[in-house]
Amino acid sequence: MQKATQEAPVEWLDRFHAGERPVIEEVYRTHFRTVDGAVGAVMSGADRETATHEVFFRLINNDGLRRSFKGGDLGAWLAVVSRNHAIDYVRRRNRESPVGIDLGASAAHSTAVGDGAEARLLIERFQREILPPAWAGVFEVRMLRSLSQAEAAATLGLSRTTLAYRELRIRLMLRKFLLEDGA
Amino acid sequence: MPTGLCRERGLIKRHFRGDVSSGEEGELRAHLPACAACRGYYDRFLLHARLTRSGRSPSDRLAIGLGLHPAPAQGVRALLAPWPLAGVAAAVALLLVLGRGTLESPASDFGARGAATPSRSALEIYRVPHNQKPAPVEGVISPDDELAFAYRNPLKYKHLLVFGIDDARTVYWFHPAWNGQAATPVAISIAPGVGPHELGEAVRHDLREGTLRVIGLFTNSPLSVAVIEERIRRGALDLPNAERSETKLKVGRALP
Repeated sequence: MQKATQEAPVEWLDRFHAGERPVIEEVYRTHFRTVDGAVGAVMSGADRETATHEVFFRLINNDGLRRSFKGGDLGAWLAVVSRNHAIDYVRRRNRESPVGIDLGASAAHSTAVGDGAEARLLIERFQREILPPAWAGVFEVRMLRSLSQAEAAATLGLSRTTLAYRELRIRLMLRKFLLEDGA
Repeated sequence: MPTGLCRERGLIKRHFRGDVSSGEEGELRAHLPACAACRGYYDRFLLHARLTRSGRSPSDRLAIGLGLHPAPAQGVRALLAPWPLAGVAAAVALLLVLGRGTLESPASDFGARGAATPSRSALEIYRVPHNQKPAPVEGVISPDDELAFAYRNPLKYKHLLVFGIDDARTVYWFHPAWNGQAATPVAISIAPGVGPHELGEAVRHDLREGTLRVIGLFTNSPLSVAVIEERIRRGALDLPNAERSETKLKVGRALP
């Protein structure tokens, strides 16, 4: 199958315009990061994933949108479409919700664990109220610093089996704290 | 569900389980921009995934909600994300073992997922020898092997217990973890679908040489380990509305 890379041959373009499923699947796989990244420059979290979903939903279902791509760099085109969609999303959301999204602030999507004020508060509350003090080190090295099991065990002076057991228990506590009804 | 919570919270859970139709995903996406509480709940799932390095990747989750199919490479990454098995290198090796030839091949049309699927639940067992790569168990393990597991759940059971029983009827608990403390844990919650779904970290017990029956008990009730041990004592492990996947292993002298 012709990949959606720098230049799209006429045949591929026709198939893209027609919304052929294998082509759309390939576009999704190839350009998910582009779309997600462009949206992520404007917002984060649930909003980011909703807006990313919406971009691809439009691509799948909106014939007119697909036909507005005339050839060339599909990735660049999608980046522009995605950013514009993200900005529209923010305006729409801000009309609906008094605590909206600040377009001016950098979303600065970070992959660092615990980034974002709400996430930090939840982590701190988990550490303060739920996590047994003796297991704080395991939580720190495995979940916040993402060390491997071997590195974590060496850092903490624990056997891997002990580390694995404590980590499993922490995961169960974390799941209950973050995800159970009432959370 | 407690009063005052949106019904869409159930859709959020199913989205992260990869068990949502495209219509339901559309409902969820229409709801989220207008509901701060549900967005907060969704963000908790994202935080949980980041802290535990578990769950499907965002591209896989959104693909399912759009009626697309996660690409094989992305599906493999989803298997890699959650569970470190005796170190990252071992996890990658197990992933290759699980991924090759075992990922389901969905139908080619949007929205249609899954070709013919197995009709039985199954527990897959891998041994993780010291400082070596995981490998599927082939009948024999060493007493000091770590064991790792994956399961297939086409009948969508909600819970699973994984344990071993040796010739002396000693019970070794793998999942949930239990070292005999006072509080008895209950069956772990599991994901629906053919999977395979990896389970947690590799676990090691001091096994006796002889036979070890490794049992995966699929059930819809969060049974406690105490209940199961009582049933083992009575020789009454057949439970209604449950399914057992059993493998007999020989625990022998140290293997290479």
